[in-house]
This record gives sequence, structure tokens and C-alpha cells, in this order.
Amino acid sequence: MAKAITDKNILIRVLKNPELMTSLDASEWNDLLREARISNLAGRLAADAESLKMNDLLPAKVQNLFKSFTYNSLSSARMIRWEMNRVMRALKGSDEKVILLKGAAYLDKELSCTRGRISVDLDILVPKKRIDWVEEKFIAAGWQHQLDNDYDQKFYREYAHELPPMVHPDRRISIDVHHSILPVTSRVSPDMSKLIGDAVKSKSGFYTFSDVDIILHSVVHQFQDGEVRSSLRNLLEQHDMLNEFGKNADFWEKLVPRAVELGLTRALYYALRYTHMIMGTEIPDHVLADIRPFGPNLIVRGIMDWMVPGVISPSFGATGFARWVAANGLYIRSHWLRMPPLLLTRHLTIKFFRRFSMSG
Amino acid sequence: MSFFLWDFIKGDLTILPSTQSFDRKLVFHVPDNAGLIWSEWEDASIVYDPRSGHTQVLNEFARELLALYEDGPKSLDQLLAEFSKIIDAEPDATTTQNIIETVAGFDNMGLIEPI
Amino acid sequence: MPPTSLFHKTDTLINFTDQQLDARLASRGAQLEIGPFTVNVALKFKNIRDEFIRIYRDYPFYDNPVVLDNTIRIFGRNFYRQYIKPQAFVDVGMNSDFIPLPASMGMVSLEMGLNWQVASACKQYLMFHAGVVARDGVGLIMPAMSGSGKSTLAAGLSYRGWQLHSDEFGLLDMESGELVPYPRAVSLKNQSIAVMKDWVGQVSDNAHDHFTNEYHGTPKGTICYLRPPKASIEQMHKRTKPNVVILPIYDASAKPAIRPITKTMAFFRMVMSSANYGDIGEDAFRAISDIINASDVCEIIYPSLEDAVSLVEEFVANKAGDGKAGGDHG
Repeated sequence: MAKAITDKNILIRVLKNPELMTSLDASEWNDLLREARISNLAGRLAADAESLKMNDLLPAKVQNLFKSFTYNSLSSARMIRWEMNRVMRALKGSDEKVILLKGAAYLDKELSCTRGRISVDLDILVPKKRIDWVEEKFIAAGWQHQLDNDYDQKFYREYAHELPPMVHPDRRISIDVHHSILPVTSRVSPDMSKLIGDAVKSKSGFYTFSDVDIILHSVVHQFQDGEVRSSLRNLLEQHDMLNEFGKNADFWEKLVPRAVELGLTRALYYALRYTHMIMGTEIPDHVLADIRPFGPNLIVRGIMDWMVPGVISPSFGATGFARWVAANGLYIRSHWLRMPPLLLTRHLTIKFFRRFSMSG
Repeated sequence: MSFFLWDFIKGDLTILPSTQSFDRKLVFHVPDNAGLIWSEWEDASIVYDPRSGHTQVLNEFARELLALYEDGPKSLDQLLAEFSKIIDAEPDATTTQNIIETVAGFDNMGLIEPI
Repeated sequence: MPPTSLFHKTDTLINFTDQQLDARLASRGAQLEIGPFTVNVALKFKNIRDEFIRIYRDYPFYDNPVVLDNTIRIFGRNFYRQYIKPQAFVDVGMNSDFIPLPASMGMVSLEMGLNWQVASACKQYLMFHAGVVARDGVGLIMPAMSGSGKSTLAAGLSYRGWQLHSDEFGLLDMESGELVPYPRAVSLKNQSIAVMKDWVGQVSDNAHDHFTNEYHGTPKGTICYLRPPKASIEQMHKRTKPNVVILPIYDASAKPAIRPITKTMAFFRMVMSSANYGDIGEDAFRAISDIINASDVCEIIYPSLEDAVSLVEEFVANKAGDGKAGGDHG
């Protein structure tokens, strides 16, 4: 069912087969561009057209718009890289392992999924005992905390897996300094020392997780953490990475055992299921067989099959109430995994009251 | 000496960092990959840094100081020594302070980086 | 090289009657072309459609589907908001929700939605918050802060023979180095409304037809929109290279004067006025450097529109006499 919905979607069809762009009519272009903008993937279309050298075959108006999208994604990459440079400068003189996460790691490793990608923050990770030291260094170099609200500050420090976001007044990028890939209160708590221990140093002087761990981190964000709106983009990045890393046979041998070791099998199950189902990612049969026992029961799987396509893009399948249920259902569900129930209630309640007191 | 250094990133004027703690022994250089692009007019030089995407306006004095770094890596003390040699005198306290502020500004903008 | 619209020759413009345009706006929307941008406009409120038709009826509309820059839809979210206490909800197709305005604010919600789309999405052209006009090979950019009177000045010049590019969105094609006209309705605020009504009245017998209603009580005070002169609409694809940059300063008590400024200052003000300079990066730096190198620059200070227009024409005429600006780019 999920497959039927997403197979019809023009954005997914073009992402899977960019050559389709040369044969679209104006109405199809309008649908495609609208969906791509909503999913923050317009830059990706432009990058695909560029790398396949088919710009000249596209309508003039599309070529014109693609210039705009390209400037946007180049600008995003430049800002992230420069923020990395400034972080290096601020931490100069120490040999602490500073690990890049998500978009910054993909850029640093020059992965294929960075083409046309827009990132708005820089995420880094350091061992928990070093997090205060990093904060001090950043503040000395001019970064400032963005949250002036005491409750939010407290929430971050006590329950989240990161410092409150910081931003340097000269620049527009927000830095999140993490010490874990999941909140400390999460029921699933991967052993960070294993992830940090396997991190590899790159030319830039930063570290990134190993290939397998990079994917597992992305997967955890999509299927355990709270990102809902951008998830087609996340699914696509997982698809790209599975393709890219998967060329190395070694990668497939390590993937499931590592997920078992870190306790992230359920999230990996979903990621493999939905990249394969929606993006047509090629996954070796024995890997699918190995991960299958870690799936949920049939009822939950049925619900997920119904919800995921509805959620990965605002325009897919579900509309109106069904869409609301899908989005909010998955949101609350992912919050459940992040925090024990009592905390969850407290956080939602306080958020709820603040919203009302502000509007009142 | 009248001297200015504007830094306009998205229209915000940057307040230069404190120079109290500036490490005079740390060796700075203009990175090889900086690829700075210049527009020069009668009253100032404007430089675009493709790595940061930022644009800075330098007056003649600041332009000359940056040129000294473009010639080769040096610490602040070495820069001051070179400057004395060029003007064939010890710079006065105000000039020295201006130089330190300018260098701290370069560092803050990322035009120069420690080796 | 005829720099024209980006569409195929097979795309057909349509000459709507007012009734046809109204019907199209009320249903699936009309594909309106303004300079380099085409937007599908759908308006569910009759009063907004009436004003829209008055201002935009002479603009090109495409009949068959064309690739759009964007869509904008203004509607009431439910029966109550559509008919009982009308509130105009603006959907700009970009994941952003605007606070709805009362439907009686008419064109304000449409114009603000179009502004938002261009300001936030356009990176293919270098954009200046500036009044831009052209005449006889002179491409004049007037970068300015809000309240400097640049909108009034650009509109004033356009009703005295200049081609209006835009009163606040100057666009530059960085490959060709040409200014790209984007002649939207001119947005007038407060005292400038009466000034422009008088100014247009001096050259037109039915001046009132050029203006929308006046909308009182907006966050910017009273707002009124003015249709660009017919010639500027007809020339919306005629591009010019920039060669004059003037910084306008309105001061009711000042003696009119032209004051020299340095090229560095002009560069600085152009960067400050650009919303997408930071995102475009190196190409934007080179483009502004080229503009400043090719341009004569000055600042004018003026107490009235009349004075401002004379100062602009004086500066341009003197420079044309030097052979520095004028026909050489024509």
C-alpha cells in the first residue's frame, strides 16, 4: 500500500530516475517543484540535472530556477564548512576528538548525498565529560546561547543530549554540541564509547563516525527521534549512503551486527524496509533476512506502513485528518521513545501552557 | 592616524574582539586555499573571502598589514618588528594598539589563521 | 539578442476581458507574468479581485499551463472567514504561514505575499532593495533604506518618461550584467500617496484609475498601490546595464543638493541593500564590483519629489555630457 502511494508521487519518481526531468510537461514541473520545495529537495533536483549534464534539455524557466536552488545549496555548504573552520579555530591547541554529525559529516566525507543539500545547523559531538570545556571555548570565541528561556535551557541540559544551541553573532549558523546520539533519558541508549572509539579522523582535523555508524545515526534520527517534516530527505540520504557504502561488501557484513551491538535494530529495520519499499534501494537478501526478526508485530508494521508514506512528505497520500493523525501520531510516538512517560507528560504540559500563556 | 576596518556580514557591524589576550607568539598565515578576491578603489580595498562568503573593507593601512601576512607566516611580534623596519622607527603606542586590533580583527574574520 | 520571457513560443498570452479574468482568478487562478517571474494568482475575495484587475489588467497572462515561479492563493479558511467576518489567508506555496489580514485590506495581503516569495526564494538574480529605472541606455539604481522615499522617487521618474524596473526589488542578471525589470505595483505609504496622486494627475486625466484604495491601519501606516505606466509594463523584458548609482536621502528641510560619495561607500551601500548577496557569494561580489566600476555615483538630498527628479536628471545629464554614462550601453 505504501508502495502504491509513493510510486505515483512525481518527486519520488524523479529522485529515483532523474532522466524523467527531460520529459515533463509544465503541469508536471509545477507539481514536482512544489513537492521538492516542501521537502527541501529543490537543490537536489538541480544537482542531479547538473551532474547528468541535462540542463540544456530542460525548459528555460526550469534552468533559471535551478540556478537559484544551486546558489542556495552552495551557500549552505559554504556556511557549514566555514563554521567548521571557526570551530577548529576556537578549539585550536587541543587534540580532543571532535566528531562531526549529520550534514557536516556528509560534507566532510564528500558523500554523494550532499549534492544539493541544505543544512541549517552544525552538529558536533564530544565525550560527555568534555562538553563543558567545549562550551567554555565557544563562549570565549564569541558564540552565544540562543535560548533565553530558563525552562528551555534547563530542559536541554537535563534531558536532551546536547547543549542549548549556540550561534555566533557574525554568522547565521546554529551549533548543537551533543554528547550522545540520543537523549540521556531515552530507553535505547547506545554505548557512546563504542561509537566514539570507532570514529575516524579526516583531512579537516575533525572526526566522523565509521560508515556503518553514520547510517545508524541517520536512521535513529528518522525512526526514533522527532524529525517528521524532513523525513523524505532523510530517507533519501539513507538510500544514497546505502548505495555508496554498500559498494563495499564489508559494509553489509557489519551493518546488522553493529545495530545489534548498539541496540538500534528496530530503527534499522524500518530504515531498510522503507528505503527499499519507497526508494527501491538495493539491499542484499541476507541483510534483509538478518534484520527481519527485529521488526515489530504485524499490527504495528501495518500501522507504520500506513503512516510512513503519509508523513515523509506533506503531500503524500494522507490528507486532512488522516494526515494529522499520521504526523502527530508519529511525533508522539517518537517522543515516547525519547523519554520515560512521566517526563514526557511534564514536557508536553509545560510546552502546552507556555503556548497558551503567550497567545493569551 | 585615522583608521577604520569595516566588517559587513549581512549588514551587521562586528565589534572587534578584545585584544587583551592576543597571543603575540602564535604564528599566523593567510591560508593557501583562501583565494581572496579584491576590488580596490581610491580610498579602500574590499576583499571577498570565498571560504567564509564574507566581505570586508580594509583601509590602506589594514591592506598593507594583510599584505605582510600574504608574504609569509609570522607572529604578532615578528609583524611589529617588520613594521618598525618599514617605517624605520619604533611605532608609538597608539599605532601598536591599532596593529594589534587589526590583527585580532583579521583572526576574527578568518583572513589569517594560526598554523 | 531579444531578452524576453523565458517561455516557449508555443505558450500563448491571452487577452482577458475583465469578466474572464475575474472568473479565472476566482477559480483555478490566472498565470500572471511580471518581468522574469510568473505566478499563478487565485483570489477568493471579490474586493481583492476588483483591485487586482484594476492594477494588473494590462499585464501578460498565460493561457496554457507554463512552468511557474510560484503560486499564491488568497482565501477564507472557512465559511465564517469567507463571508461573515472575512479574513484573507495567504498561501504562498512555501511552507510559511502568514498571519491573515482582514479581507478589507485587499491588495495588501497579495502584494506582501508576492514580496515574500521574491525576497525569500530568488537567488538566480542579484537583488537590491532599491528603486531602479532606465532611460536611453542609462540604468539607474537607487539603493536606500525604508523611508528614504525611493519608491516615490522611482515611481515619480517613471511618470516622467523613465522605464520603471521596480520601486523596491532591483534585479540583476549576473551573467549578462543587465538589470532585469520587475515592474510590480508601486507601494506608496502615508504622505507619499497624496504626492503621487498629484504627480500622476499632472500627466493623466484619469489618475484615480492608476491607484488602489487606501488601506489605513496597516503596520506601516496607510498603504496605497500605484500601477506602473503602461510603457513600463510593455517594456518589462527590456533590460539595461547599470551605470549610475544614486543614494537618495529625503529631508523635508534640506536644500536640494548633489553630493559626491566614494566608490567604496557606493559598494558598501549596494551590499547593505542586497537581500541575497550573502547567499550568492562570489558572483554577487564580482557583479557589484563591476556595477560600481561602470557607474557614476553620488548622493542626493532633497525636500520634494520635484527637486529629486531634477537632481537625478541633472546628474545623469552632466555625466552623459562627459560621455561616461548615456548612450554607450544602449
